[in-house]
Formats: sequence, structure tokens, C-alpha cells
Amino acid sequence: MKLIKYFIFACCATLFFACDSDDDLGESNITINVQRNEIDQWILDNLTKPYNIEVKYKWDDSELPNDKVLTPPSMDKVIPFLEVLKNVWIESYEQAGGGTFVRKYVPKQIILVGSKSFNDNGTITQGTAEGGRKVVLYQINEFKKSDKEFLKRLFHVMHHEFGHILHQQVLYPDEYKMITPAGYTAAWMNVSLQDALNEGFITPYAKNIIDDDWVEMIATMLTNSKAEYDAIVAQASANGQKIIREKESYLAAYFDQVWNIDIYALQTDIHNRISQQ
Amino acid sequence: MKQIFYIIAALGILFTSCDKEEELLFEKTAQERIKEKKELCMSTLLDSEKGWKVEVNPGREDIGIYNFLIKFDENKKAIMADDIDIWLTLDGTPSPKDSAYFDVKYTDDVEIVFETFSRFNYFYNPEKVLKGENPNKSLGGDIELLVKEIEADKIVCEGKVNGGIYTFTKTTTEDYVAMLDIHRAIELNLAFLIVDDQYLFPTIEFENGDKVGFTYNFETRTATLTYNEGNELVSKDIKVTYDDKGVIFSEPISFNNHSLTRLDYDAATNSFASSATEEKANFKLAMLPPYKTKGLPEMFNKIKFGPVTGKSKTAKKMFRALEGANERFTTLQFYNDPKLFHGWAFKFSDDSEWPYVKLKDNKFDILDTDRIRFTPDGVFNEKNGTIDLNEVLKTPEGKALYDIMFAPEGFVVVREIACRLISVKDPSFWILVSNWD
Repeated sequence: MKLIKYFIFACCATLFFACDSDDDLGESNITINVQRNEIDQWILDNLTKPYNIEVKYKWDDSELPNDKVLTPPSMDKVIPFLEVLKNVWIESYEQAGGGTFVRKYVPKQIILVGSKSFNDNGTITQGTAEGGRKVVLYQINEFKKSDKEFLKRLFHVMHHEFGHILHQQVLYPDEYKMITPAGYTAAWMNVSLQDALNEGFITPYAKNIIDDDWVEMIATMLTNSKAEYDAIVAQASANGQKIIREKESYLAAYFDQVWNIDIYALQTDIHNRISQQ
Repeated sequence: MKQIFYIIAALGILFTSCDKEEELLFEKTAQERIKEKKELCMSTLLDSEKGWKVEVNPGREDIGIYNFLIKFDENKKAIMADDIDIWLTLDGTPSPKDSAYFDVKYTDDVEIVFETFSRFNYFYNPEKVLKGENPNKSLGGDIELLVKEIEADKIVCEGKVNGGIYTFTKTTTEDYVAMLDIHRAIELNLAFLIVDDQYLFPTIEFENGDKVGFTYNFETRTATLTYNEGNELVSKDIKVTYDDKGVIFSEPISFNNHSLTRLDYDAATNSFASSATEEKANFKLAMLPPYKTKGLPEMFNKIKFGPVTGKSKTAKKMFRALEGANERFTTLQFYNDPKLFHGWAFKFSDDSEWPYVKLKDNKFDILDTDRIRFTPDGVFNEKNGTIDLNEVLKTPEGKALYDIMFAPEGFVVVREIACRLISVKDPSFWILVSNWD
């Protein structure tokens, strides 16, 4: 027993001696690059400091799917795109929901990709969101401020992804799930817009899963004026219109009650901002 | 016994842990070595007033070698020009300049990264793929280049994903962009020579008469070499690149004791020939193929349909033997359709559905391993109409068709990009039948 005590003592002593190391660990391999170019500075001043958003526009393959061939954005596209993004997306939400709302919920990291992202099934991914923190936006090299259709497509992606972030914070009502429970399919890409509308889905992608149905409603409302949105709904069959309007009512109530945002006022504001670009 | 064991174990641990001597495999730590290599790479890149000639050899065997001039500056901007787009030469547009941010980083090794989009992405871009290929299969390029060798005037890198070779050579040439324009102009001249006479056979002919078929693909900057070596027909693809003198082959053309590494361009004669330091050889467009192939008549059977003449100027030229007879020869078509025409037939496309000449016994005669002969039916009756050869022969086009297409000597069948028939009676007479499967 005594010897066991000595053994434990010896081990402890050894342990502490072993920890007593004056070895030089060498220079840190972590270097903080403070050399900022004009794009870096613009991002720091306009997005990082006021909204705590990091924008990665330089190539970093660790942030992107490794089974895709992708390109970084062209440097002359970055600031013009981010200016529009800030004006049309961040500032419109800031006006509707307040500064705290924006700073709390906007994605903290935006990754810009220059090229399209092609999928094996022939579709193109325009954007992705991960865990409410990171949004990846593709096709930035096609950005033209004057191309309103491109802006609508791109902000459709932003509103879609931000919609996911919001419902991951506070889920939409369970009743919404019961409106078209049998209408969802992984083969949504084979459904025409007209068929989707007739079934009560605002886009074919809305048929993917319930979450996408919810955020496609948000994105379609917020990237079209009230008149344009009504015209889209009017293309649906009578039953389809009824279903879409029912979904819309849940959406308006959710934004009003959960986030204190009038979605119709937000819709008008965003449309005006896109028109002014 | 147990006690002795504990004592030995305790002493063992004690002495082992006290042994803090480390055997250093390198003089410096990994961090120090990485930092030094990064700094060396960056300072070397910046230390070239006139920039770097960068030879891009993508990691695909079917994509050739291209050249860039890149200047790197302290603001981490890379300004570049390249010799990719030969068609810009047509209207005298100089090599387009582009720029990207770059950096030297460490991932798998120290690497040069082109961080924003530029023409350097030509070879790694889902929107730049070969026809029919998956967008996620690039042209073999890379964005991140792992640095393998660094010398004061040379850096060799390997593409991180696709493994191409990128050779940076410090340029001392005053205006290397002008050089890139020359590369493109030389390539355009080669392309024009071949495209203008695409139904002739691009050939490299050595002084002793040995010949190599040289089919050039200017979309991919590659060439297919075809030659007979003994009784074997050899066909291989090689990469090609350019300098201010001419065409350079990625590997020597070696057969029958010949070895040729390049062809120089002579602007005065608009021709390509071997350089003075190598064996004499000339590039030419030959009337006949430089090689023999076997078993082609059987393969000809696979052709279902095709225009044997075309409407392009080039196609007319090869059909000049029949042009005088009748302009309808520009629309002559060949059919191998038992249901529609009850077998083999020639028809004019403006002749509704009825063939002009039907081949006897619905077949052609195989005269040799690469030779066929057509024989017309004298009279052919079907419910849709009748072909009477005597009536056909009374027309100028019928006479011309008979004299050339049905000559007893027949045709040599040649398969290259499409199927070609060369009249044995008059080798200057060619027909081309497309849709070869």
C-alpha cells in the first residue's frame, strides 16, 4: 500500500515536471492581414461595422461545396452589388423592423460566388443558407444594376434565405402546414408554374417542402409590387387563388404579430427601392 | 515482486519524461519554414518589373497549353493578358487585359491563389465547358496553385484540384503582350489554312516522303496525329502551344526515326515548316490522306443519311467536277434507308421523296479493304414511281452523276472527322458524307 502511494506520488511529480516546459513554441502561424483594399474597406465601413456582417468575396474553397466547379466574383462587381444589397434588402428591413431586428437576424456571413452553381438534375442553385448564419449567393458576375429582372431574381434568393432564418427563430403557425399537406414533391422541377399556381403554390419550388413553400411566398411577395404579385396570383385557378390568399393571410399575420412588420408596407418599400436602381 | 514492478515503472516514467531532448529533423520549425516559403514566393512574384510569362498546361489531356503575361503588384493585384482567344485577332483586337486580386497562402502547401474572377478562370469555370460536358467538369484549370519549385526567375506550380502544371518564367521581353498577339495570329493562320480547306487532309510531310495526318482542334489547342508505323495505324492526341515563331508540340512527333518538336510560321508564304535546327518537314493540305486504313467499306454501311454536297463555298469547291453539269448537285443527298427508298439511293433534296438513282441490289461493291463502287439499277419500279437509268442519263446531271459516281474504279473511303469518298478515277473529285456514327 505504501509503495502504491509512492508510485502515485512519483507519477504526479513526473506529470508536473513534464508540464514545466520552457520550450519556444515558435512564431504564431496565425497572421492577421490588415492590408485592406478598397473593397475590404467598403465592406468594413458599410456592412461589418454597422450590421456585424462579414462578406467573403475572395476565393475560399472551404466555404463552398467541393463537388461543384465555381468561380469567385469579378472585383468590379462586388461593391456595386453590395450597394444594392444594402439598399434594397438590409435598409428596407431596417426601416420596417428597426435596427435591432436587422442586426440580430441578418445572416452574419455572406459569401459571394461569381458563377452559376449547376446541379446534376439540370437546375441551378441561386443561393443557399446555413443555420441562419451564412448565406451563399451565386451568379454575381452576371449582376447589372440596370437589369431589374436579375435584381428580382437575386433578391428573391435573399428574401427566400432570410425567410428561412426568420422561421428558424420563430416557426410559422402549424395550421399553415395543413393547407396543402399532400402537394409537396422532390420532383418539383418537373411542375410548371401554371400547375403549381393551380395547386395553390406560388412557385414550382414552393412544392419542394413546407419550409420552402413558406419562404417562396415571402420572396415572391417582397420581390414584386402589390400589383405584380396580384397578377401572379390571378393566373391561378379559382381554387389555387383561394389557397394562395389563405397562405398569404398567415404570412401577413406572422410578420405583424411576431416581427411587428407590415409586410405590405415592406413590399411597397422594396419595390420602390428596386425601381430606383 | 509487485513492489519491484511499481518501482521500475515509476523510475521508467520519471526518466522518460525527463528526457526532453527533441531530435530536430529540420533546422527550423514548420511554421517558420511555411512563413519563409510564403514570403519567398510573394517577394519573387513581386520582383519582376516586366511580369511573368505563365504557361498554363491544364490537368486534362485533351486541352492544350496557353500563355499568360501576369504582373503582380504590392496591392495584391495581378494584371494579366493571354493568348486564348484567337478570333479576337480577326479585327485586330489586342490581347484583352484583365485583373484579379491574388495572394500567397498555405493550405496543402504554399499556394498562389487568384482570389477574384479573371481570364485566368477560363479553365475553371462551369460556364466554359466543352460541348455536351457536365458544367462541373472544368477544362482542367485551377484557382489555387500549389508552389512546387521557386527560383529567382522561375516558379513551378501544380493545380490543387485538377493537377495541371503552371510554369512561371520571369520575362525580360519589353512587350510580352505583343508576343501574345503574335501567338494568336499564328494560330489563326493555321486555323484558316485548315478551315478554308477542311475537306483536304492537313499533313506534315518529311523530306523522305513519310507523312503524318495533323488534324488540329483550335477550340482545345490540340492535334490528332495519324500515321502508319509498319502495318499499324497509329492515332494519338497531343497538346500544342505557340511562341512568336510558330507551333510547339507538347511532345515530339516521333515515328520511323523522325522527331519533330515544332513548326515555324512563314508569313511571306503563309506556310508552316520545320525550323532550321530540325529535320526538314512541311505542313501541307494534301488531296489524299497520308495513311492507309482498313475495313472502311463495312463502316460506310453505318451511314444512314447525309448531304454529299453542301451549300458552303468550301464544299462546292470539292464538288467542282459536277458543278458544271447542274447546280442541283449542291443538294445531292445519300440515303441508306430500306423503308423510305427501298435501299441505297441518291436523291436531290428538291426532288420530293423519290430517289434520283437507286443502287443495284440495294448495296455497293466492296473492291478492297478501303474501296467501294456504286452500281445503278437500270430500271427500278415501285408503286411511288419508276427510275429508268436511260432517262436519267439523258440529263446533264444524270450523265455527270454516272461518269463520276458510277465509275468502275470506285472510291477510296476515308474516315476522318466525317466520311469522305475519293474518286479513284479522278482523285481531285471528292464527296463527303456526313452523319457517320
